[in-house]
Amino acid sequence: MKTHIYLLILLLLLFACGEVEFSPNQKFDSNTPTDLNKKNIEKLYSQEKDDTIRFVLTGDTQRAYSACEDMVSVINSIKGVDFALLNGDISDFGLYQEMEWINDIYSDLNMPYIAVLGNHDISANGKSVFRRMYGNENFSFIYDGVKFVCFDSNSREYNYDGTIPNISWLKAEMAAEAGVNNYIAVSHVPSFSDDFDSELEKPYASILTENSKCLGSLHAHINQTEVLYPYNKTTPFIVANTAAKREFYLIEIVNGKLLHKVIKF
Amino acid sequence: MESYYIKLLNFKVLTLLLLMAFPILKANSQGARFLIPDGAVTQYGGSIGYGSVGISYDLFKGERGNLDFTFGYVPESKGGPLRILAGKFSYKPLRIKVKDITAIYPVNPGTFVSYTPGEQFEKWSKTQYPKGYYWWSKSTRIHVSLSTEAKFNGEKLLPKTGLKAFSIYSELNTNDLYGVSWFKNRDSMSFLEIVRVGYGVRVYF
Repeated sequence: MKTHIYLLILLLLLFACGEVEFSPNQKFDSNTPTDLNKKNIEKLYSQEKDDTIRFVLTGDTQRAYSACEDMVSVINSIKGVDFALLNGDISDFGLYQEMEWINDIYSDLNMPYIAVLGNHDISANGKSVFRRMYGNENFSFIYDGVKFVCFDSNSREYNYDGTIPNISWLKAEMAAEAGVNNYIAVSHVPSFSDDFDSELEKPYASILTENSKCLGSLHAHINQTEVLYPYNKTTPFIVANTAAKREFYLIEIVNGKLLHKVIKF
Repeated sequence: MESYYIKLLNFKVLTLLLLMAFPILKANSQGARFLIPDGAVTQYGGSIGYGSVGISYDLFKGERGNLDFTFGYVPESKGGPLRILAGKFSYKPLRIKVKDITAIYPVNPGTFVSYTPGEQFEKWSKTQYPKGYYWWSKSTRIHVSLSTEAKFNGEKLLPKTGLKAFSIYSELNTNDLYGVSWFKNRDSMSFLEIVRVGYGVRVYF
């Protein structure tokens, strides 16, 4: 009898080893962080600034946990990186658990990171998960005189309804502003992709090319590393590879000039 | 490959198979009596709701299996709102009897399918996405489970309640999407990271 009771206790202990989950589709659990972008931007503002802005552009971390761990240690080994951008497709299936796993890994960075909404992150309850965990999908921050305008460009997910990307919001964000020397646009799907609303490609290109202070447009999504000049000779479109393909960009802005370098790991 | 197995095991097909297999499994019963559940089940967590309730059938000779159909709910305050339907099968190969009061089923492997209705979980639109753009189902998850259960004699322990027996169980599970997430990252991720748990009570009338 006693042996059996011990066995039962042992089994109950063994079976209490997992976390209680209500559904893989739940939007959060009791430990899910909130407003990460806002908190990380505040952290970024509290850091000491110098005359160089140095950041990394990483993309598509979806289901590449091992690679992301390696990437984080490589980024940590680079001196003077102010912040990291995670340019969408944090998750593969839009599950809260996936975004938590990635946040656990990116939290090991020595610098704050800022995340942008990707098409996969919209799947199922993903957009609600993203909004609660990271914040609004359209947001901007000004660091050392450079305004980073981050937005949802995943037009296909909205069946190209003409609202994504939000052109009027972009125009307002890219308009001349005191204290801003340069602008950088940041979104997951590049405007030359089939997944971007073709009706909005020209308006988007105009916003960037007509702004002489715009240093470029940063993207991910197309699963390759690319620097293109699709609309003029001065505005680069820099596309980061997926984390699984073990590449990211190191970007520097010195005296209003943007320099980029692919880092393989 | 991934899309193939998801298609093969879609929720409707599985439900149909379970329903078709059901009369055969219950062949010992007479007539339509096999439709009458042997018990009721209620569960906390376990990936099929914050709370879920359902009906339970005994399978095989000597009560060596269970087939449960449950409805679960996740309230907004717990990450919902979500409604979840589940069809659950578990096999109980081992039984340790403790006098005539208790039976422990220590290791019960099983599988279940959960279905979450809702606009955001609808099938990928064929007009919106090229074929194969996304391969998984948003609404239907396939889980594997492992449970442990202690069953108590209701007539002896709770006389006059009319309950033949009641049991408490704890059930570990993971699902197809967690599985593929873990599989490609086995070197950095422990399997326990994709294991979730739920606790339940089953009563037998």
